[in-house]
Amino acid sequence: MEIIKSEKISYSYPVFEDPDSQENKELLEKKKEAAKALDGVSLEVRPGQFICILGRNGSGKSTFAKHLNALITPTEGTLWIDGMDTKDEEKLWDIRRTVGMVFQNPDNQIIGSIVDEEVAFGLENIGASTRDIRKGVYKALEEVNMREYAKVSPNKLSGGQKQRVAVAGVLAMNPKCIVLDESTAMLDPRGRKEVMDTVKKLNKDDGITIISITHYMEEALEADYIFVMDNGQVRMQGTPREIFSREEEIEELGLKLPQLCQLAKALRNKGMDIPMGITTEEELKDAITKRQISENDSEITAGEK
Amino acid sequence: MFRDITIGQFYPVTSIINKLDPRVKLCGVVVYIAAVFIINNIFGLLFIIAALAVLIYLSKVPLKHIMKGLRFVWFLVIIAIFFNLFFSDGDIIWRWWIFHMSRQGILRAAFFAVRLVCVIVGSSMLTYTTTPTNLTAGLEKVMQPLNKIHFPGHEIAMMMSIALRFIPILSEEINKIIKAQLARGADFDSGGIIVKAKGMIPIMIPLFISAFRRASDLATAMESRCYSGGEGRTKMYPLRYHKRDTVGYIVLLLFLLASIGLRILMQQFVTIGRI
Amino acid sequence: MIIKLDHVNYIYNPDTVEKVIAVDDVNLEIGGNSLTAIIGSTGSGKSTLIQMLNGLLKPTSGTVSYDGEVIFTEGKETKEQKKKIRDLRCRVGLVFQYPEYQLFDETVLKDVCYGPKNQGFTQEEAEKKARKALEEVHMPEKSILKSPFDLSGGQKRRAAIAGVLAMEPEVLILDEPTAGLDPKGKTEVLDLLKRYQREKETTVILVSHSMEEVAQYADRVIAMHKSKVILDGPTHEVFSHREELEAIGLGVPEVQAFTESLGIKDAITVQEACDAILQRQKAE
Repeated sequence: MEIIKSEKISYSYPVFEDPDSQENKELLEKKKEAAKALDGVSLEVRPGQFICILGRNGSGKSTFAKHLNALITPTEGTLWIDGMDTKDEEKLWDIRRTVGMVFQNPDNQIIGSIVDEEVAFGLENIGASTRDIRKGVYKALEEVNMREYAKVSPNKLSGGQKQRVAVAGVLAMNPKCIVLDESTAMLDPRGRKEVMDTVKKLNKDDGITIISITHYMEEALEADYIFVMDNGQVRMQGTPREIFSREEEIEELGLKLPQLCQLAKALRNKGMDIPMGITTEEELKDAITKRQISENDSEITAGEK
Repeated sequence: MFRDITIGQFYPVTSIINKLDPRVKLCGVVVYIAAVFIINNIFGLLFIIAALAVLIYLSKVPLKHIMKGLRFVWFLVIIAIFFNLFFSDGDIIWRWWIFHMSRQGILRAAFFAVRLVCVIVGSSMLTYTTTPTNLTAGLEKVMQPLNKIHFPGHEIAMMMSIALRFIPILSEEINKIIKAQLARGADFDSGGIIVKAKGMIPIMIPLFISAFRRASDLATAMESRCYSGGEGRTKMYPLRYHKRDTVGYIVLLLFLLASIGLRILMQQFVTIGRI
Repeated sequence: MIIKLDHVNYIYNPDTVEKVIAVDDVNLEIGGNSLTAIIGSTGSGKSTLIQMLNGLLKPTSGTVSYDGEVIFTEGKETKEQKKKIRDLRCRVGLVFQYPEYQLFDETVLKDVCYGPKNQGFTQEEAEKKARKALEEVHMPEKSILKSPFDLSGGQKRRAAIAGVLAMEPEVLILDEPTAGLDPKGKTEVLDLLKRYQREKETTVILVSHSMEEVAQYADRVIAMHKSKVILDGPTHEVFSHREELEAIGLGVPEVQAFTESLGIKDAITVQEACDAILQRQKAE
């Protein structure tokens, strides 16, 4: 069964309507159109996948992310999380335990004033026993490699460490899926690497589905599958190889190719024989050196003759 | 700005006072303040000071740290001394213009100042020796009986702990906004009060917007982690009384009785030093 | 304008247990016609350094001079000095991180006027300068009278940058001007900064965490680590110290790492890498 299955979901942010005002029906319609953040999104995610969602600011990525643990529910269409309809209020807590979210600003999502209490917050909310809470908290801290900071104030941590604590807070609830909503946007390269390495490990070792919303194209190269959103719709989907083969489209949607793909494209434009959809250094290296080798070979054979 | 405030900041050491249940300490503060106002003679005062000294010794909070916290209340003490010193009636020993000094006034001023310092130091010992989380957990528990009359004890405690966490973050934010506007040539120093008040707008508006954004982010984050108020919530570190807490309560009771005793007994035998 | 730092130190909370040395004995000369990037991980002292460059922070010791003139001296400032410091902040413009969080006025135009008006220009002059600055950041005409809070993320950022540009600073410093923007927004901001710098032949200093951006846009790079300047020089030269940069958690542009594995040195942008590879092919 798919962990996430969305069927033509649309969402509009509420627009203030003045019932007395007769004027400007057109403007209101316009406003309503502008408030439409999602427009018929259909997609499926299988358990254990590492997914990247790309798209420019305002493309609807974050709105979609908020649907995933029922912070908002679709105005049209249906979204199933692990078989549960997000509109089913009785399943609300199960959905939120199944899908955990890590947000962008580390300071605005930490509630506790000591690291271990922060990680415990979710388990406390669902009424777990004291013993289970402690066990869960320390296991989660161990998994994100923050055990030694258990008794420290979050204010004293670096950005990358704060985000790892946030991941631990989600992890303590034993989720099947973790959604990262631009969680590395405010971090420096080292912090970004810390967080990405942590979630990659969770994905690989524990089979937790990861959905990463990001502006870093390099991160997307390593995903299993990519969705590109624009204007509230899924405009492209596929493996990194498929997505980054469609070079023109990527740029039309306000994104940028990873540097590796940019180089492949530049070389190809200069007449070199480089295949489309290069995603790793090895592939590009092979493509460049293979040509050299074949040329060298022909030279050698020519020389022999 | 806020960063200078030392009053009420937890001092991280392990001591017997530190380990006491926050409820005992909350109760202690109430008893202590009551005692300060019960006593009415020099012996009582000495008793209170001695008790405070023992408390500070046991808490392992350095005296220097406590004195630093007092910096902000000195002027309050001075005002209190000033009024008691120069405007008290009694055996006048000095007089100039509207000011007059009396023997009783001097005594009263000294007594009042010492009392005030005792109250401030004593109650700040609570926050020096209790982590914010523990303190709010204690308050929540103490307020629990009020739930029956729909008093939102949990909500108040949660608000307090969030406020405590965000004070350093917001103070940093204010600092940053001020600097950013200074970098745009803002002048917060010169001009009259109205000019100055107007000059605050470029700080206040961004600050409010930022505070609202943070609040909304935090609410979303809490909701996504299954928060739904205090009902059905459990704790990783629930408050549990230990033997030392029972001892604490007994000490507090004895302390209160001793203060009352000192007031009643000394009244009969001693006339000197009574105020 | 040439800003010169001579044995500059900055210490937070001196004489206490929480003493933090944020900038440690830094000697620098920045100025002239260049786009300089300052790199370093969080907490390396970059932010403190740039705040000293425009007089928001006074060095704990050492001197900062502007075209040879020292503004901060020992002890308390006189009124005249205070005025000088304020003028200095206008001559050396500083755009903070996430500058859109400092927008406050009713319209974009009014907000951008805030700086020039603080400098003492009349409403009319200020508005003229503001319009010019908004043009420089490509703000669409129809957005100028909108509330700054109704703009898109990228537009807000550019409006905030215009707020400093309107003061016509001789040196422009920006702390992570592209943080949080999407790829297109990033390119827009960097392109306009580069063009601004080229046209005015002035000094632009930017703090960045993206080595790819730095390699593509900067002429000179200053790398900080643990409060000290550890590398300083032309961009190519700094990126030739790959091991040092990796040791401090920064690294080199992805394309450089790739071309080095092919045995090509000194190619730090996609364009350079492409040219170098083609050239080698030709030679062979």
